[in-house]
Amino acid sequence: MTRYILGRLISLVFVLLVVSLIAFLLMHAIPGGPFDVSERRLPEATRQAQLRKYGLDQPIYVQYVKYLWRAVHGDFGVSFQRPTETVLGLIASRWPATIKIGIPTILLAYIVGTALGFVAAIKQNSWIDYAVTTVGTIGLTIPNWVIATWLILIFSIRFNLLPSGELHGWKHYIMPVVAYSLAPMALVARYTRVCMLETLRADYVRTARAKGLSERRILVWHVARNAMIPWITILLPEIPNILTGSIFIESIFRIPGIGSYFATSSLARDYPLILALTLLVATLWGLTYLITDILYTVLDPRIRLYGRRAGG
Amino acid sequence: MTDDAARNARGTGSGFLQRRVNRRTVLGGAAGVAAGLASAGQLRAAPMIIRSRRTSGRWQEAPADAAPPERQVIYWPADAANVKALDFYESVYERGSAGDLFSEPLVRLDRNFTIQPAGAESWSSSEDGRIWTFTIRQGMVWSDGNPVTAEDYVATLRYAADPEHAWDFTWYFQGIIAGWNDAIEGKIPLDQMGVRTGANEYELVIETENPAPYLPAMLLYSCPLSKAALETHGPLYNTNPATAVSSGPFILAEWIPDQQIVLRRNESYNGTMNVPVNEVIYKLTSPDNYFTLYQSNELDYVENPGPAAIELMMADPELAGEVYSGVADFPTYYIFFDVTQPPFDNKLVRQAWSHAIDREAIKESILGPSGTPAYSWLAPGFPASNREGLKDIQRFDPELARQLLAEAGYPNGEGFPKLEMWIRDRTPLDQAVPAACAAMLKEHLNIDVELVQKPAQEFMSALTAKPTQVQLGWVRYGMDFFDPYNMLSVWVSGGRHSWSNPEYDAKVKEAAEYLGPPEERIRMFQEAERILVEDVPAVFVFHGTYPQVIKPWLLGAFKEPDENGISALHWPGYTTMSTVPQELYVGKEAPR
Repeated sequence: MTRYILGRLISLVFVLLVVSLIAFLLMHAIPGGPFDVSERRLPEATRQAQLRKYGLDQPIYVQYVKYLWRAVHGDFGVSFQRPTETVLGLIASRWPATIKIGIPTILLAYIVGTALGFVAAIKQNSWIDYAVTTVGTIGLTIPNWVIATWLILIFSIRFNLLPSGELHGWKHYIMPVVAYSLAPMALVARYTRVCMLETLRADYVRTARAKGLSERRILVWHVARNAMIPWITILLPEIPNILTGSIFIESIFRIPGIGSYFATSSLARDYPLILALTLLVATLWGLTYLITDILYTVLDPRIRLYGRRAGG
Repeated sequence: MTDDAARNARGTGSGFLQRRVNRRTVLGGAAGVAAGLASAGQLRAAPMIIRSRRTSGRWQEAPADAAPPERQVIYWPADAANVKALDFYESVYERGSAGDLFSEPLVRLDRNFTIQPAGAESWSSSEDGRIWTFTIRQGMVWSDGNPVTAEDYVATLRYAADPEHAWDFTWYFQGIIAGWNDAIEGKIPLDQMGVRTGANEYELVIETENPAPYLPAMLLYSCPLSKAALETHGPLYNTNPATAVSSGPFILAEWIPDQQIVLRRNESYNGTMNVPVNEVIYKLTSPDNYFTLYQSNELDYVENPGPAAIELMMADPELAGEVYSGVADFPTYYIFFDVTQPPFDNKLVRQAWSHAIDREAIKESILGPSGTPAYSWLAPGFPASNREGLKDIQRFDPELARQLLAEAGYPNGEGFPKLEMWIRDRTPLDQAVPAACAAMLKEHLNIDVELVQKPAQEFMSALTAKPTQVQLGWVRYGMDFFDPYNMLSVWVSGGRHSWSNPEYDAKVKEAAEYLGPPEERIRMFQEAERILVEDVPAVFVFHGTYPQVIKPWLLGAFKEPDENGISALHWPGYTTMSTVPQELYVGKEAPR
């Protein structure tokens, strides 16, 4: 197992290398540069001076190699948008706010979503099932920024019950977490329901019933456990998505997190930040898939992590 | 401005120059006169400024309806994605709307848009209008105890030109300050540029390439950095409360990135303004949130919240009172023609178009508080504006329009080509108003116009290409500095548009460099504008007056109409470049 994990981590490094190269080339290929903000065309001398100041006047491969060299030494540069902060410092200071919203969101979405999906599957075609399916469809189709705006309109502006933004006390968490969790909650509920329904009809469940096992034992040990495999495949990768924040939620509720920077760094052509965020996401996804693969073996002994050649 | 132009100007105006006294010195408010921006208001306002100085920037006589000092706190919006630094000379386009409160510019604008002395108490120019001496007001101090001297202004302008800084606004002084172009290219050392201290440490000398009576107006943008702080902590010293230094009414107290910036009263402020407010809190967020925050009383002020928000406000009799019409950067929105190609090479056609647009109807049905009808180029309130005098030339007169079009050979629009009108900007007004114009052209002249939205970069490069590649378009222009020369130079040959009129060019250049009586200079600009409006290279449709929403508990002189009838927070807003900070206080009714 350790050897396997080490191998995967080493391959992750290569993945990051490829991702960084692609991101680097792509971001330099987008028209417009980081300093094209002037309403009038800047004198050529100043344009050149700006490029020189940030090392952007050098050939692109030199820039890339220099970037890698510094990154290996832990220096990811200074954000163009925030000249007083290093990229690492910026991520370190903004990410906690995103995580503070992300973790309650994950808990709410996965616990409530799973419970709803579970109940809907057991009571298939009952009113509970229809209610969950309907709510699930709505949660997936109404964008979270619409929900967020409505929440603010109702609870902050109309009734003045909850603060409209920023993160200070527990009250500040309610609206962003609710708005943020509805879509993943709906997703979780729908997938839980479908996975459960499929497993409920499986032969081994019928066998278990025939053996006279209690319904509770069947649901927990046979159905739920097996239903987890497709569930994990689809739903675990949602977690890095949530943990890197939503531009809409963070912007509307004025949460000083990292989510907005995914958009603003691209818009502002903030090259060092674009690269760092891309690598961050790639790392999180790499780790998530590693964890997913390990969880498979826990849930299903037939799955092996190595020795997977034909017949293995 | 080229050397040739300067020589021409001197040639034609040499009589004036020879009659001039050897060295002109003007004091106090009259200094604005030297800038050629005079109106009676300047002279009237000057003693007030001097009196306010004696009060050492402290607010002494609080009106009865004012909230107590600890509640003199205002909440202002700032775009979180656009706050790199707070100083103009660090970043012009990315300093958010916070800042410009940490030092006194040489001059500032009052609410009648006249130039007032601020950091400079007086200024004078050499006889040829090329060497400008600003006398820095004594007694101003930085919060670190150093006096504010000409050295600070010199260090700031040198930093601005430093190629290693690569300032995002270097175009501004291009061809204006002597040696600037060479300095930004690194061809000459910064201290050889035409910016230096004079006879003593309170004299700032700026040398210009050409006679530049508009220089004081340009130097609205002159909030200096502290030389000592620049040297000790580097140019970003005002991004951290620990190193922040101010000689303005406020100093940086807190900056929580992406959340808020707090400016607190600078107790050592000894400048020229009486500022009632004790604390300014900038909420850093996306502009999309401004109006929501305004509704939940977390912001006191929002500029241009969008037509939907304005409609919402105007529908409620109480909220409608919180909507004000501002002037922003005095923009004019207009339809322009390529006058070198048919059908617009025919002046009759252009005139016909100009009489077919019903600006009052556009104001009534679309603009509301967002704009006011335009019949000429210079917006009301801008120096040399002559809106009333020129109103008739492009007036709405559909009968006359049809007649002119028939004279041009297109009776009832027959034979007139179907044209594309290019549009650059994507704001709701830039969609609705051109559409209304197209409908009016169809109705009154039976001319078909198709509106085509273009990306800004493509639009601008096609427009300024020589020869131009845009036959017909819709665009706006707002000022850079407060002098008629700035706005009128847009139409000088070889500039933005294909229209070329040697008489106009000569008049604008002559007026720009004219060193005689300011009223005369204004008159010369007005003559030039008349040529422009009469020749119809463009149909001027409206002047933007971006609406502001302001909470009812903000009180003060800003609510009174100025000489131009404008009651709003005046451009350039809550900054030491305007008198707005002394015209605004928090009333007792404030909920916080």
